[in-house]
Amino acid sequence: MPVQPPEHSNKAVFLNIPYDDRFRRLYFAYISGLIHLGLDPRATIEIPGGQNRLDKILDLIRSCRDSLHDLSRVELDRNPPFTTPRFNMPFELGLAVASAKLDSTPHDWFVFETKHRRASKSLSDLSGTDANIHRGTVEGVMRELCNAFVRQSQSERASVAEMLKTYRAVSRHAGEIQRRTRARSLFEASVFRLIYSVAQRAAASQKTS
Amino acid sequence: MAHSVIITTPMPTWDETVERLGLSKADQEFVIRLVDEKGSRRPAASAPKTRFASSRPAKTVAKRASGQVRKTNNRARATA
Repeated sequence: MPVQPPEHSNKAVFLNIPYDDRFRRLYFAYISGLIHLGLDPRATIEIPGGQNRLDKILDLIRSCRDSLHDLSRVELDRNPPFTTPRFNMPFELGLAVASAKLDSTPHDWFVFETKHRRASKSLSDLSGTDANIHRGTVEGVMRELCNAFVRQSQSERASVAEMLKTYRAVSRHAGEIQRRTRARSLFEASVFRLIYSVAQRAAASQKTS
Repeated sequence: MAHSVIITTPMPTWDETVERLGLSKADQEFVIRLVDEKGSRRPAASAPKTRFASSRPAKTVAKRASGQVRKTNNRARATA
C-alpha cells in the first residue's frame, strides 16, 4: 500500500544537479529558467544536515510535482580519499521514478544531459526515455526547460531571451550574495535562498516593465 | 520519448516567494537593493572592454585607427 506522501505542490520541481563550481553557470540557469516558468525549484541543499537525510530527500522528491535530473556530470570524482563515480544523481533519479510509479500523487521526471545517447549508455534502464540535451550551455538548459514545461496561457509563456536576462542578474550578483552569507560555496542553503529570490524579483520586474 | 508538462499555475508573487523561502526582513531589503536599485546594468568595473579600450585617450585611439598617427615602435627607438 502506498505511503501517503508529504504535502504536495504542483509548482515544486525537484532539482537534481551536481553541486560543484564547474556547474555554477548551469545551476544559475536552472534556477532562473524554472522561476521564469513560474515554478518553484527545490534542492537537497535546502535540507539541513543530521539524521535521516535520506528520508528528507525522499520526502522532498515526493512533495514535488516534477523533477529534473541532470546526468551530465555522472563521472569519476577524483577527490581523495577514493576515486569514485558520482552516484547521487542517478540514485535520486531512481527515487523519483519510484515515487512516480508508487505514489498516488502525480510526478513527472525529466533527464537532462549534455550529450545524445550517453544517458542510455551509462544507465541503460533509461532506454526508451529521451533525455533533454542541453549541450552544457546556459541557453541549452533554458531551451530544454521550455520544451519540458509549457505554460498553458500564451501570454504567460517565457522566452529564452527573458530567462537569459534573469540569469545575467543572478550571475552578476552571485559574488555579493556569497559575501553577504559568508558561505564557502554557492551551493549552500543560505545562498540558494538569495539566488532564488534575486531570480524571482528580476523575472517579475521583466513581466511588469 | 520526450514529453512536456502543461503548467497552469500563475507566477508566484514576491510576497509568496518571501513566505516560501522564509526570508528575513534584512534579506528582503538586500535583494530589493540588489535587483531594484542596482538594476540590471552591469557594474562599470566589469564592463566589457572594447578592442581599443585602454588607458590611452580616445582621441589618440581614433587618430591611430584612422591612420593619422602611427604606433611608436619603442623597441626600435631604444636600440637606435
